[in-house]
Amino acid sequence: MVEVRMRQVIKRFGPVETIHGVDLDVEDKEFVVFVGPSGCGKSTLLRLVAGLEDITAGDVFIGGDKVNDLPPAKRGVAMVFQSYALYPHMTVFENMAFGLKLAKTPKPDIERRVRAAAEILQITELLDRKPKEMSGGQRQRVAIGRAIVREPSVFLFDEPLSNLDAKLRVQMRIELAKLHTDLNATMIYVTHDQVEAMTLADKIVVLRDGYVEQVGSPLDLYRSPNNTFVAGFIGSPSMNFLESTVKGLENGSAQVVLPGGGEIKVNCETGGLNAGDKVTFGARPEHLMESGVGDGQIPGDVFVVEQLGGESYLYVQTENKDMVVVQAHGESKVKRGDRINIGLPANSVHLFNQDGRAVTRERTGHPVPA
Amino acid sequence: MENIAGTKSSLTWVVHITTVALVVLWLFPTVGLLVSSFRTADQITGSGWWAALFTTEQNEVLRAADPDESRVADGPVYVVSGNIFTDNDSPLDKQILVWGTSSRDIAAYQPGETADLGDGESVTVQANGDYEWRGNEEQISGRGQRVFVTAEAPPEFTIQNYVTILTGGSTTDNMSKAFFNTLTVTIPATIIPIVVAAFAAYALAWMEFPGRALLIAMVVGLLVVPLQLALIPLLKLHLGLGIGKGFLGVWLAHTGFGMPLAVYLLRNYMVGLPRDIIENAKVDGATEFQIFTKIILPLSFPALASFAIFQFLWTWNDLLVAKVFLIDATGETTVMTNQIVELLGTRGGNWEILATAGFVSIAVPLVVFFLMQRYLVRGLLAGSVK
Repeated sequence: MVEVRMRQVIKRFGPVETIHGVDLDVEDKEFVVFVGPSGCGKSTLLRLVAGLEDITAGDVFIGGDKVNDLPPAKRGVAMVFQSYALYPHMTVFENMAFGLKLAKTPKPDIERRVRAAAEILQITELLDRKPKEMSGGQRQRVAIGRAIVREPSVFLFDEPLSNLDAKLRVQMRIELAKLHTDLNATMIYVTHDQVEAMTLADKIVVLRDGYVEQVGSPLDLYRSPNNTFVAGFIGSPSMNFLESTVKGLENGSAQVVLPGGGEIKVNCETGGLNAGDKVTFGARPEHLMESGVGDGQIPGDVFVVEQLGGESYLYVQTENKDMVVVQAHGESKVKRGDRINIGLPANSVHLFNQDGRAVTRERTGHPVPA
Repeated sequence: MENIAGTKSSLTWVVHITTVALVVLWLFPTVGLLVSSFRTADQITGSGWWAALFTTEQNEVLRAADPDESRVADGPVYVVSGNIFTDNDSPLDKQILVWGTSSRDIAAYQPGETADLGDGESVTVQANGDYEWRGNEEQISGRGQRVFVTAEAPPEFTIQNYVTILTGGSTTDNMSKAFFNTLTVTIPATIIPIVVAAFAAYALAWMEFPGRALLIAMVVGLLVVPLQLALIPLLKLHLGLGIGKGFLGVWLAHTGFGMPLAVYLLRNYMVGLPRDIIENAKVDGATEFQIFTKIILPLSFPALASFAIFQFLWTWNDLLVAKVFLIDATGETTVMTNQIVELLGTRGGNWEILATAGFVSIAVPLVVFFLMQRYLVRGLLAGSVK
C-alpha cells in the first residue's frame, strides 16, 4: 500500500509563499494529475513530494511514513522530467542502470531489470546509444525507462510530454495510460494540458496560485466544477461565461435572464441567492444548440465559422457584445453574418454566484443529441 | 536583399583576410625559428632563413689536387684529374653553372668546356665537379690550378644544434635538464589547481550554503589582483613555513595564482549545466560527491581541458614565479625560460643555439595547442556564452 498524503503543506521561497496549506490524498495505485496554468504551483508541489524542495510547513507521508526530511533517494520515488534530464555522457543502458549501480545492485540484476524495462518501452535496440543520437520521443522513453528500472513505489512525472510534437504526444499519452495499467503503481503527473489530465487521470487536482481549487475524477470536474476557474479550465473549447441576473427563485430552481431578453429556469441551490442578484451563467460550447432547440434561447450574430469536418465552431456575438462559442456536430449550414438563436438545455447550464462559486447541482454529461 | 547579401560577403572577406593576416603573423617568426634552428652559424650570418629553403648560388675558389702527388703521365703530357669538390672537402651535391680560371673573369666557361691556359696547358671542368688538368711536366707542378666556380647548392640543414642543446657536454648549453625541470614544475602546477578548483566550482555552483555569493564575488575580485603583488609576502610565508625555494613552493604559488580564474571559469561552466540532470541524479540516489564525480566532472570536460591548456601554457612559459620561488644558487632546479636567459648571456652571438633553444622551449606548447585546440575554443565559449 503506497499512498501519498499531504497535510497542510506550505512552501515559501524567501518571503514569497507559493503553496498555501495544501491537503491532498493520493491513494494506492492511483493516477493523479496536477493541472493548472503555469505558475500555479503544480510543479513545486510535485517537487515537494520528490524531496527536491524542502517543505516549509506541514507534512508529507509516503506509504504511511513521514518523509519531510528524507532525501529524494530514500523516498522510493522516481521522477521523469520535462527536459528528460538524461545523462548526456552515458549510453541508454548506463543511464538506466545509474540509479541501480548507486544502490549497489548486483550486476546480473541490473542487466535483467534494464532489459525488462527496455522491453516494456521497446527501446532494446537503443541501449547502446547516447542521448544525442536519439529523437525526442526515444529520449522520453529512456527517461521513463530510467524511472521504471528503479521499481519505485511512486512515479512522478513533471510535464513529460510537453517537449514532444502533437502527434507523438498523443501516442505517448496512450502508452503512459497503458504503462499505468501494466505497472500498477501510484503515479503523480503534472501537466498544464487539460486534455492530458482528462484522458490519463483517475483523479485530477486543479491548482491555482498555490491553492487546490478542486479534486475529483475527470468527469466530476467536467460535470460539476466548483467555481468558474475549474469550469473554464476543464473542457475544450472552454466554457462560455455570460453575466446574468436572477429574476426569481422557486424551490430548487432559479429563473435567470438571458442576453437578448430570454429566460431560462435552472435547477440550483437557492439558499444563497436572492432575486436581482448578479450571477455568472456558464454553458459549454458542446451543449449549445445552433438549431435553437432547448429550454432557453440566446439570439446573436455569427461572426466566424470554423469548419473542422467532424464538428464546427460558431463564434456568436450576443446583443450584450459577449462572445459565445457554439460547437455543432458535423458540417454546420450556418454562415458568417447569419443571425441564429442558440438553444440552451437547462440541465447542462451552470450558475455561479458573485464569488464565482457554483450554485448548480451536479449537471448531466453531454446531452443526447436531439 | 541584395544589400544584405553584399554586406555579408564583404564581412566574410574581412574575416578571411584577417585570418590569413593572423596566420602569417604567427607563422613567420615560428617557422623562422624552426628553420634557423637547423642551420649553421655561417648560414645564418650569410643569408636569411627564408633563403635556406631554396637552392642557392654560391661562388667558391677551389684548387685542383696537388700535382706533385697526383699527376699521371699520359704519353708526353701529365694529367691531374679528380673531382674539384671532393678534393677541396666541399659538399658534393652541387651543380656548377659557370666557372673560370682567373679572378677577373670567374664566369668565363660553361661546364664541359675546356679552358686554354696557353702553351698547351688546359683545364676541363664538368657540371658535377669532375675536372681534368693537362700540361707538360713543368706546368703540372707546384700548387694545384685555381678554379673559380659558381655552383648551385640545394638547401642544407643540420641537426648539430639540437645535438648541442640536448646532449651537449657543457652545462651552460645543455637544455635537457632544464626541460625536465620545466615539466616537473608544469604538470603538478596544472593538475593541482584544476582538482582543487573543480571541487570549489561545484560547491559554488550547486551547493546551498550561507556566504556563497560573497565567496563568488571574492573570486571575481581576485581575478584582477596582479600576482606581482603577492610575490614577496608569499616567498616570506614559504620561507617562514620552511618550504623554502623548491618545486613544492613553485607548485603552491602557481596553484594559488591560477586558482581565481580556474574557479571562475569552471563555476560558470558548471552553473550552466541543466539543473534537471543534477536533480535526477539526486532522485537516483547519488550523493553530492557522486554527482560531482559521475555527472559534473565528465560533463565539464571541455571547461577542464580549456583551463588545463591555459594553465599549462602559462606555467610552461613562466619565468617570474620560477625565479622567485624555485631557482636557487645551485642551478639544479633551473627551468627552460631561465636557461634561455642564461644562454643569451653566454652564447649571445650564437643565433643558431638560441634559435634551437627557443624552439625546444616552444615545441611542447605547440603540440599541446594543436592537439587540444578544439577544447580551447569550446571551453572558452561555453563558459561565457549560453
